[in-house]
Amino acid sequence: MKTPIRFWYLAAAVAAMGIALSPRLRFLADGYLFSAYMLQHLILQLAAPPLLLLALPPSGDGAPKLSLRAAAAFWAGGVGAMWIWHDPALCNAVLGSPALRLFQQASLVLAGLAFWWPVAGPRREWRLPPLLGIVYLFTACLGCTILGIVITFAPAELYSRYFHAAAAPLLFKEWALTPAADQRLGGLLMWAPACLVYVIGILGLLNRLYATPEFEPKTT
Amino acid sequence: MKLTLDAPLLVDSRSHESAKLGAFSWVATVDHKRIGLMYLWTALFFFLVGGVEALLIRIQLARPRMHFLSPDTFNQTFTMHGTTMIFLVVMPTLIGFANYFVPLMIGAVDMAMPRLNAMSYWLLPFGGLLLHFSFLTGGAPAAGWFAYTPLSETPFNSTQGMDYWALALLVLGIGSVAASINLIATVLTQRAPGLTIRRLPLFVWMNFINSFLIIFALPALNASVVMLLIDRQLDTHFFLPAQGGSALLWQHFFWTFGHPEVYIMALPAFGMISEVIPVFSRKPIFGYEFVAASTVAIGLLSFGVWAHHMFAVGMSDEANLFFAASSMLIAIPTGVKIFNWTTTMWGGSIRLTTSMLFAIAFLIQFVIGGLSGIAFAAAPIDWQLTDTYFVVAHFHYVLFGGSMFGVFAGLYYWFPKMSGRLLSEKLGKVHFWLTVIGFNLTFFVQHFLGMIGMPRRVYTYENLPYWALWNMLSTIGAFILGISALVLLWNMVASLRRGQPAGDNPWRAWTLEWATSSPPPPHNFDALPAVRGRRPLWDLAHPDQLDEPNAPAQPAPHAALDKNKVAMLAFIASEATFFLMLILAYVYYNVLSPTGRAGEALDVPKTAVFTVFLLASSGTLWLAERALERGRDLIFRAWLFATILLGAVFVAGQAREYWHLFQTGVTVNSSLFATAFFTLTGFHGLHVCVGLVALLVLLRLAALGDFRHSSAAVKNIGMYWHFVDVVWIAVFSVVYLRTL
Repeated sequence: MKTPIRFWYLAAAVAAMGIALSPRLRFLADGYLFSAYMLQHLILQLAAPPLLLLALPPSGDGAPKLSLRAAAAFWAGGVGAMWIWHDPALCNAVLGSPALRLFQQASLVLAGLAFWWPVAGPRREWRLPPLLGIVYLFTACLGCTILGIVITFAPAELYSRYFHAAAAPLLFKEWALTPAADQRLGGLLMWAPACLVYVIGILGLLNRLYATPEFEPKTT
Repeated sequence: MKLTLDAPLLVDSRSHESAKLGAFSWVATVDHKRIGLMYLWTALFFFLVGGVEALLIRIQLARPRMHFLSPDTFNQTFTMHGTTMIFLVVMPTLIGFANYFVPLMIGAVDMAMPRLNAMSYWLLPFGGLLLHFSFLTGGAPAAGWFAYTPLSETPFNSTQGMDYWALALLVLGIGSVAASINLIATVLTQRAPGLTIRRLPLFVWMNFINSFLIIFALPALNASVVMLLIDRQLDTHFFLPAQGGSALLWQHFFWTFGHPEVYIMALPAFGMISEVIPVFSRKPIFGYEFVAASTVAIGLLSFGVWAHHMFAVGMSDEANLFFAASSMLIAIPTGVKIFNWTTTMWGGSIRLTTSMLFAIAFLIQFVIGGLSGIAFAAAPIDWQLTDTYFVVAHFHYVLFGGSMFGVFAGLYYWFPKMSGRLLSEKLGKVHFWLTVIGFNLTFFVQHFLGMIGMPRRVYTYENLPYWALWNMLSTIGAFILGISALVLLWNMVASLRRGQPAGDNPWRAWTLEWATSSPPPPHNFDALPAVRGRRPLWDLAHPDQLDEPNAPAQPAPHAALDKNKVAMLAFIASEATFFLMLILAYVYYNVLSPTGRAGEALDVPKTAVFTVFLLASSGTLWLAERALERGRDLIFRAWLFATILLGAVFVAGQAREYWHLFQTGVTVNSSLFATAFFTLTGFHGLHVCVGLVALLVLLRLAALGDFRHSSAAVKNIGMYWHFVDVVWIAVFSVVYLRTL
């Protein structure tokens, strides 16, 4: 029997979560590298949730009819979470408290699930029509890009928790990374590859637009 | 099965008007076909101007150490050549074809907003005049078409050439944005019944996507040239590093526009190719969905990769790495298109008309331009070859070998529809071969010139090994290209006079523009065939071999979408981009800069009070809309009046704040903070004032009793007003709240 595509989505979602929460990435993200922190953030919010949603069995057969107001709320949740957790003060606070860090990661996954729900959610009625979905993802991509640009161009001491003596020998000497380069890497991760996720989402929506039969087959 | 349009009224009024006005009817026209033709003739005129400029450049470079043009004249010539070809030739040509054919291909009577359409066109000749007027003021702009700062600033370009350049680009940019808003509204609201989004002809689809690129990219250019103008006219220092400004910010801002612009000049040409190749291969396009979706992918990616124009300016290695990788990704959707076009030809019965020949040459030459583009995406290669003739060769392969060849294919394909007469195939083949030979001779050798180190934009060169040879060959090619343009002109004039009559559908094509006479009547269609697939004329001729056998024979009309609302939303999107650029500039200079202690002079609590007034005006406007919906005219007018009052109080508050700042010595050029502050808040204030004018007009109309039954106009102006308030929330948070 052929393995259904949903199985592979589930496997990819589990793998993504596994990478994001792997001890090594967590070790780096919790105290050493802002770029690792960013990578983790992006996987938790942009990669794992849509894969997880795609792994759920689709249900409902009506036309998409999510209200614009609800969609706007989901959008604000997703983009808002992305901006708020990158506020330097909040980011530094989170890194100092394991409980807050756990809450942050859970909130990222939840915000990710909410954000992707109107695009990749299992219930067809609760989705946006494809063309509106494209607007939804494009504007979110814009929000993400602006944040990435701001972080990339911001002064280097922004995320001050990552500046400590222990980090210097390994990261900055052996890996030839400077704190400024580390922060730029983080910003660029959000600026360029994160946008690709949205582009893939938009291509998925176009695929859905063209794949759905427009007319009922003729009954003879 | 025919649907008859309700058009006689329109025909009468229009033909009557034309007869009365004579030649002046072209000035007064709002007919999309006449406006399209005017776009095309204007572009043709500037094509000859830009072509002569190119020949002057090539004469100067034909031999080493020539003195045909002085260094300064040479700088002016290449700047004008680039600016002319991009803003006065390629963009108006593509917008002109879109103007003429998008409404026809979707079975519409006209564009969604014919008067706006006329305005978009008339900004073009006036923009062109502004640009060329610089010759009379002491010299044309001479800083290259991307006007890098600080070279384009007053200390290095003290004549008024750059000012005219910036003003002209602003005017042309506004025209392009208006045209695109119109195209979006047209495609979304004026389609014939049955022509669903997924059945759009690919030329229409690509112009539709392209219009989104324009409304997001052009405002970035507008913001940049506005900042440059402020620098030059008000003696400020946005882009002057010596006074603390940032020359790099200009590059980022310009290429934020500049890279999408590359695709803005390519996508409609892709659309033409996608119409021409299937018709002359007698096969439907292979993989319609892939061509359509890859267009969206190209459009999206184009906004994320502009920094690859800046590999050589000393960005960090990390940035180079990311932008090299994402730039290479664009090769995927572009390659998908090449495969689709090639596969469409595969196994078809190909008719090698001039149009098809240009389309095939397009495929080959665009691939060459694409390959050198991928080479440039690798930062180390870019470091070696940037600013050499290799770049010149690369973008001419994309823009001439690509876009212009696509345009020629479209011109031979659609000329019969526009004029009623076929272009001569014999002269067409002469034109084609001269163009192919001239083009490749001119530009292929420039790859070698670049590789052996000849920098672009030098007015002359030493007699180094091979330099003279390759340059001479390139010049000879340019003159062959010049002759080919004359052949095209001759062909057009001769065919207009005594060309073979075309008939309705000379190529046996399948899209709706061929379902009417050539040229079409003012109202476009006497009767429209029922649209039940992507190729309505095929379905009409082959009822037993329908493309979509399951589709209903009598399509239902589309759900009504208000064209004014769509246009207003598109306008707001472009305005939002403009403000985003100004806000980013403010953030760049005052928030991200480590030394910036911005805004100490600001009185935050007082401004907060005036902010409350502005936000309250959004509330009163909402109440006004609600009162209108309930038919309470007097209450509606009262709330509208309150809105205007609150808005006016805000403007007065801002004026008071400016006055206070002036008193304490904070003027637009006193510091970078002040420059960015006055630019941002000033443009916002301007928008509030425009909104107030619009609200006053509404109030006057309401007093005349115009809104008894409809609140659409109020809703649309209301969206604009709410938008202006939202922008203020962003400005207030970034500028004022941060100082606390």
